[in-house]
Amino acid sequence: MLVWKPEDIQFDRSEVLRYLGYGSNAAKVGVRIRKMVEQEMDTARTLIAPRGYFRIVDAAPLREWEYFSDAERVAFGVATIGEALETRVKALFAAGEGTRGVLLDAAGSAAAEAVTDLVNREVWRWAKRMGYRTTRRFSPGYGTWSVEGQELVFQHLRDRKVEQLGVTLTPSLLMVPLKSVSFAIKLGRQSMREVNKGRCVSCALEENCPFRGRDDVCRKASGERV
Amino acid sequence: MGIYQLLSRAVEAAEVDRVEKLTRTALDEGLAPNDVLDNGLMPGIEVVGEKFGRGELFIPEVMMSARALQTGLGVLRPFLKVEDTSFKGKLVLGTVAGDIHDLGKNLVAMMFTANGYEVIDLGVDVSSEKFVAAAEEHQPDFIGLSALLTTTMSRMPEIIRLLDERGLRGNTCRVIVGGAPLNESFAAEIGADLYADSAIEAVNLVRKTLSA
Ligand code: B12
Repeated sequence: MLVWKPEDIQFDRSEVLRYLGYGSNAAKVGVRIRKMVEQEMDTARTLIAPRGYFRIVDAAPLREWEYFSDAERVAFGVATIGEALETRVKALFAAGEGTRGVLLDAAGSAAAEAVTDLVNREVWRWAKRMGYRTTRRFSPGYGTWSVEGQELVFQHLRDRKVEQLGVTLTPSLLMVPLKSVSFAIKLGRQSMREVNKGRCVSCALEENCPFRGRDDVCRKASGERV
Repeated sequence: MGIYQLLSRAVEAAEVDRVEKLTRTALDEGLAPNDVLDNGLMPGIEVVGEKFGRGELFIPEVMMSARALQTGLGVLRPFLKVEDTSFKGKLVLGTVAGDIHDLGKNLVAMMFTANGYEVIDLGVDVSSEKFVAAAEEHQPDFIGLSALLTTTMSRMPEIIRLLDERGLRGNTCRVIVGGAPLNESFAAEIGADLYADSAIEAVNLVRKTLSA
């Protein structure tokens, strides 16, 4: 199991604002909201317990799935920030502090993505050490992969370490805690097809990546310089 | 600027204390509570809704204004007669079975409450039977269903079927659905009466439906 300190998790304001729907309109955020966003981001940092886990398996038994047909190995991973933040969001709503609740929730989502980036990075590190190339991560429910893919991911993560992590998959394929993300990454000696095109947003690399938005030439994301 | 306009502006700017003060002043001046609501508070939140629709305001601002509106409504409520409000109605709301995501539902609850509706929030992971029982018990004007994933929104048709079987749906009680993975065509496919992709739009839609 991978465990980080809350201060290791870097999520920035623009991510939080994106979750709040501002998108490219960050300039339109009023002073009052901006201040509240900062405050809730600070609160979020006191409430997250960033953890993750991944396992790398042989791709041969998975080849019947189109998603993995060109992989040699597949990494399945999951990341979470734990349950405390969700609980606080509920309490805020119950206390009539819905605005703060929404802001804290968005900070939690940004943090969950940031933890996922870190787990993702560990997979890339491992791959690099072993001389594999990698694809970007792709998740059940995003893009063309249906939520039902969660069964496959969790089948491969079903061991004691995931129990320690505290993420469970319900029969309706929802992960508890809610602020959790699961994913797969393909590994191989040859370059492989990206599952989700145009998905730089889900890329763990820095904002200043020179290939950002240019999927055709995304070399960094295939693990060459991580 | 007249007091109604001041009130409306204060709601728009989400100045909670000012809304409260102005609402009291309006009552002290002898203005009719329903006029204060219809001409002062409501126009403010309507402007907010329009600006949200045009992408000029975002969820946090809307929620702050809703809070201000609610404060004003709180001052008025003891003086309002039920028939004073032209748009009121009752909403039974919940996140469907197997799903525990409540942020969207809570936003919907908050917007409806702020706009003067009675909201009966059944919480999360609400079984289909529980929705039906609540429809029977509360006789709502609307039943709202929320879901986060495609796997859980698939519970919605069953609820609609059960409501139909018991004769609980019709012109007096409509089903409104929403949530991230839903869209207009899914709503139509399962025979829901209404679909809204945001809490703000939901309020507008319901208001239109009730005044139609
Ligand atoms: C933030 C987010 C996350 C966060 C937090 C999740 C959480 N629940 O807290 C994180 C990063 C952790 C996450 C994880 C995942 N996510 Co996600 N996530 C989102 C995102 C971007 C926003 C959801 C949100 O909270 N919005 C804010 C709230 C306020 O909005 P809302 O709940 O939708 O409610 C509004 C409206 O829908 C409407 N509404 C809601 N209910 C109702 C009810 C009625 C009656 C009415 C009228 C209106 C209404 O009004 C509300 C307010 O305006 C959406 C995409 C999107 N744009 O919506 C994807 C999305 C929900 N996620 C998705 C997926 C696939 C996942 C994962 C399965 C990915 C994975 N494999 O790990 C996991 C699942 C998590 C789990 N616990 O199982 C998919 C689901 C698609 C599907 N096939 O079902 C979505 C739709 C993205 C996409 N476009 O594919 N996610």
